[in-house]
Amino acid sequence: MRRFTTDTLAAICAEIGRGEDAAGGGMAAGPWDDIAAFVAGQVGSAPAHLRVGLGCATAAFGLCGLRHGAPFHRLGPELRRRQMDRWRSSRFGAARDLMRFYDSLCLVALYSRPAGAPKDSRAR
Amino acid sequence: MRADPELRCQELVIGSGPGGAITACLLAERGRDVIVAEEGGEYPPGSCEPFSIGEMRQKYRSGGLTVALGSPKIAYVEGRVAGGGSEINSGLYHRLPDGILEDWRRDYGVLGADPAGLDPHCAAVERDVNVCLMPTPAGRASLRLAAGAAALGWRAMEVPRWIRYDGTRDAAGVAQGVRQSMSRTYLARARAAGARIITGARALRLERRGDGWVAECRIAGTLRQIRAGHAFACAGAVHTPFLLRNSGISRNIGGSLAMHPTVKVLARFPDETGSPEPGVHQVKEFSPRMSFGCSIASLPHVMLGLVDYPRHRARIREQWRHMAAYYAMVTGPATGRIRPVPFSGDPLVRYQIRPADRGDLALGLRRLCRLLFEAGAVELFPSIAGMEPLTSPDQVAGLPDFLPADRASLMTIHLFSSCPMGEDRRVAACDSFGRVHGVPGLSVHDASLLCTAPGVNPQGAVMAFARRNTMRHIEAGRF
Repeated sequence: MRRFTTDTLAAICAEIGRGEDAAGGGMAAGPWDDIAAFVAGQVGSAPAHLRVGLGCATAAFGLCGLRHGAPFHRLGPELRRRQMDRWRSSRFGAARDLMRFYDSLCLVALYSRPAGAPKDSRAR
Repeated sequence: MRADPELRCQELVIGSGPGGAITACLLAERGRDVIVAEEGGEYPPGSCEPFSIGEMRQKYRSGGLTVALGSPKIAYVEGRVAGGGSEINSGLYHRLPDGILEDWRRDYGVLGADPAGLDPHCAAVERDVNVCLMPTPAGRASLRLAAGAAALGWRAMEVPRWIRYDGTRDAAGVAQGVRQSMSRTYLARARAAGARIITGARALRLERRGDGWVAECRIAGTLRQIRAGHAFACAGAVHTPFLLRNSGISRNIGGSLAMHPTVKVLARFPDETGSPEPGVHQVKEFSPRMSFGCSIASLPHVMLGLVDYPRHRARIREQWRHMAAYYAMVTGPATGRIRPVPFSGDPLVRYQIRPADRGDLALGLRRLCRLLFEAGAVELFPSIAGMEPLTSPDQVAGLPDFLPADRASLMTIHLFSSCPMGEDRRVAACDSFGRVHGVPGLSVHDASLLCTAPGVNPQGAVMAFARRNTMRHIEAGRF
């Protein structure tokens, strides 16, 4: 189950990265293993009750791929994108929240990659 | 608790943020034997980029993934590092408004919460952490906030920071310096005076034993006990009540969490905004009910702010240096709760925002958008899902009257009031000087004490009250 959730999470991160890259973000080019590792690390450090909720929701998301014949992480990019868009616009708040959560973390991680990180020295 | 206490001290300070650091410093400098138990680590200056994901992982509790459940959910961040929140915030300093102190005296019976009682402590803190204004004009994003306010006839101010400007300037000519966070000031002084600062030490519960306290702590993965004559809970507005409730102390504890719910707006300007660092100006025309300010606008933060605008991200990414981030924050009521979760080491935080406050947030958002257009913004991105960006002032009126609970993204970095002080035991957890009512030898010295949301950055108030209360503790000889 844990492996399944991890695979789903990695596939979600890759899909978000692919989407950003396709839109022209040079910093968002694959591979996205670093993004998935960051997101997994963040989820792992979340409070226990959030971590459990996120794990369950991610697993449910992964299983939803079965309507297309395979779990989410085994689907092709187009089917993945469609499933994620469906969840992003779902009438269920929990589904939207899950996608927003992953979108947010991936965006922060993608645009924190060294090539684009601001180099200015800030007063802290 | 089975094992004998392994560590002993006269004064145990749990947490090393602004409240804990000043408490430990003053006690150690008076010759008291002090242990500071800090859950987070201690890092050298420059160990990570400020406001970066490295900093999130290193210094934020739960990597920054902390949320108050409710409708809407409110993301919050806390420091978990030696120095606490002072290591990760932008260092803005306010004294408490007189009206707030008057409310606390009237509604909670707080003694000595008046300018005469607090001013000497504020002055001492301001001297110790070098509270000052900038020696140069602020960054462009900050100045734009002030200019927009001026155009509307609204009151704005440069908020002083606790920072030591070192004579250097960034590419835009804005003065640079070093924030005088707790690790550089009070915590360093505490250590120099002999305090033992134990990092990676999480206090799990407190137990009254004899005439003192035993704290059960997990230190580097091992359960250990610290015996102390007096214990100061300074773990912040979430973890102090969590610790006390886990220790069986619950009267008026953790049932009145207040915060400053905040909604953000990204603004695009025709020209570059210069430094992405947080601004120093705040609009106080509607204070304490609501305030506006300027936030960090590095590339990751700009892209995060566009999470609800996927169709616009590619375009904005090319001109992210034209972007600035602003916020409207309101003074939320004390409707939050902090409770232990069975079989979990983390607290459950709930906060139910009232419809009136969603109305205030929406009103604040409209006013802020109006101001930003006055300041020259050409496109605004409020953090509400499902919206199109605003491109003209006429569209501001079309913003919702109540922030939609299911589409708005709220956050806060200011939490307080979970163990309010005062002599009125019906509502207060601690007396006017932070001593927990009915529990000898135990005090609270952090933002939990503040009776209500103050409407200003609270670190100055936390330090002033912690200083006052520690001096009182020393003078009373409660050893």
